Amino acid sequence: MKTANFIKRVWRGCLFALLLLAIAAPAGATAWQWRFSLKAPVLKKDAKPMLMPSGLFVDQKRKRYYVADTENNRLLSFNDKGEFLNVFDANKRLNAPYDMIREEDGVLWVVEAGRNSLTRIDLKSRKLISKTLDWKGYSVYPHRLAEYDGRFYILDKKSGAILRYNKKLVADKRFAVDGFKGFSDFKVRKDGIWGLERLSGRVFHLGLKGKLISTIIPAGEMSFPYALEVGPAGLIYIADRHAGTINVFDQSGAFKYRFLGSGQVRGRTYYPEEIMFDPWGRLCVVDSGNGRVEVFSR
Amino acid sequence: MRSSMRIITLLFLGLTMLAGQASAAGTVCYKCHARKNFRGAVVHKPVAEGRCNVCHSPHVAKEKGLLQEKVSKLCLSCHKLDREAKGALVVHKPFRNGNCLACHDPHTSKVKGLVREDRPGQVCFRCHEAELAGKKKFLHAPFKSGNCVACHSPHSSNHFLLLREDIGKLCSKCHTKGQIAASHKGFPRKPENGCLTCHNPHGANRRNLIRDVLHPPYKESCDNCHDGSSPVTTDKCLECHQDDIQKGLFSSHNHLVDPVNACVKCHSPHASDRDDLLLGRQERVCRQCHLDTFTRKEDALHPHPRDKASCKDCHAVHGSNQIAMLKGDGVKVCTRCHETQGKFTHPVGDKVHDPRTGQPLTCVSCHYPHGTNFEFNLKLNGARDLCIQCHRSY
Repeated sequence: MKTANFIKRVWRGCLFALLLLAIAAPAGATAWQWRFSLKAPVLKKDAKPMLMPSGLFVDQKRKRYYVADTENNRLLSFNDKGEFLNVFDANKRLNAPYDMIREEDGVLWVVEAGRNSLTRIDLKSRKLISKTLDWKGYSVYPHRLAEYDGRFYILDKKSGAILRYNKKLVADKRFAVDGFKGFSDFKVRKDGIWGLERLSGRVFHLGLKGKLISTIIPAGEMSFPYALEVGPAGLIYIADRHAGTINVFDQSGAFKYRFLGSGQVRGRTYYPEEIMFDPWGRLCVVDSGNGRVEVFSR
Repeated sequence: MRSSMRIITLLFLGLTMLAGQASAAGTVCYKCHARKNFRGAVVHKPVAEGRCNVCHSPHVAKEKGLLQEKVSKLCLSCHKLDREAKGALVVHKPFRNGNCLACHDPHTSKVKGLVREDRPGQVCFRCHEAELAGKKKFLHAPFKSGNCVACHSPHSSNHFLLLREDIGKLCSKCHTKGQIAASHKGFPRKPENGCLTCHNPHGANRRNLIRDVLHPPYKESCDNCHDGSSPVTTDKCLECHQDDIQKGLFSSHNHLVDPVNACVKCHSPHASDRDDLLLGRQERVCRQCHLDTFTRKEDALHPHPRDKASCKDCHAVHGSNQIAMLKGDGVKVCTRCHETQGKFTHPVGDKVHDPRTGQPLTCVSCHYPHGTNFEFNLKLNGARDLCIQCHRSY
């Protein structure tokens, strides 16, 4: 009798485990659910939809999303539910804003592709100062911008290197890899800098002192790897600009899964420009060709 | 003892029957198909052995020519070339499309490798006509003799232009390092990998196969750009060329794509066969990085454009604020050629919004400009699937 009961329990346990596995196994690939889109409202007569948005900044403290609406020369803000809040164009003085960050004291730093500058905008005093950057006498073409530990990390489109500047915009460090093709995107984390190499899709992990820690060669074909994110669990997310997909790899480069695809309807992207996890664990995809930012959560 | 004798006898009988069958198959076929058509300097092994049925079914088949399988599948069942092509950077289009017969004769040929045509190289020139440097005064020896495969791999390669090696390594197979060093004395940098920035590997009107159009500073003196042996950077090029290309570079999407010098990714700093000093034909230059785009176009049932239009016709090659570095929005670029469609067709423009995205509706909302498998380069089937994405009530 005891043995029969034991077998029954084991059998039930196995069934329960199988059920759990069935739920958990495809979770990686299918659990991303569309939550909302960040879009400019077009209800008013003169309102314009976002055109070629390129950069996203998330302010955790203020619970705000900020989007660089590049072709419309303006910045848009949204609350953490995706509701449109405001539009800012610095009195029509912005020229192709590509990326931005907002500091706690209300100062905006904007990469202006049209001016090839990093522009400081003081919202309180309404002062705007554009500065062209250089590295040891060579011109710099700012592309992506990040702030970490009180310093700016700027991807120089020309050299493909990441340059570190203090708040007075004096450069003190260059992050690059010998013989590489240059980065197309990067992320700064506590454990260093993660950079995506142009075209090849290789991901380089550099220490904050510039030493190469590891190189990840993603297994799996991508057409045009362009944007990078490192997930909270250490997974590597790469946006394929031409295929419109997000490809996920572990840190050994093994392919885990991919989602989205090229197109216009929900769940599709057209020329994704940037991917980023917001502080609330949601994955944001700057869907440049479709003029929106798609926000997904598990 | 008896049983082993039986096995040997059975084996012998079996083999004899098989051989008999094979040659019988060939003999039967030659009753109708003239034998002389299957004789030549080089004969495909199954043909030589009279085993026509290796490739052909004698009675019925789905495939044309009573083939047992599709051409590509059939060929690859013996010639395992697909293994080396898997993961290769460049795969020759006929091979990619399984069109083996574009270059090879499946029965006999005068040329090794069962290559069609009488002379080596002739088969290449049927498609690569533009490469014919017939009017050039000086021709490179392998090119002159039609020995294209000396430098190019005909099926797949991990090197640009289906080259067998990196250009420097490839050239140094015939032109020794000593010879190269001796003929480039006083050069600011070792001419290790940049042979093609001065020389045309097929033919030229100048001695030593130097290309026709010279970059003026190069013509004058190397010192105009080079400062010792340090690399010449993008900034150096921009000292002269800033005005004409700055607008493009000061854009959200530009072609600053090389850590040292982005200009020389596309242009030769020394000599070219073109006035714009490009490294080759426009599409060839673009293909270096945008291989996936070209492959998609070539594989599409309805490619666009069908003629040999230049990438530059639609794209601002130095940079633009438009998607895919287009010269204008998705209407302006298209209506330069498709004039009438811009005036009367499905409404497009700033005032018409795509319900899927809220974006202004343009030609590229429905069409994919490099081609698709749907008629009119539509992104989906125009009979239904595409339209109902917006017109849901239909």
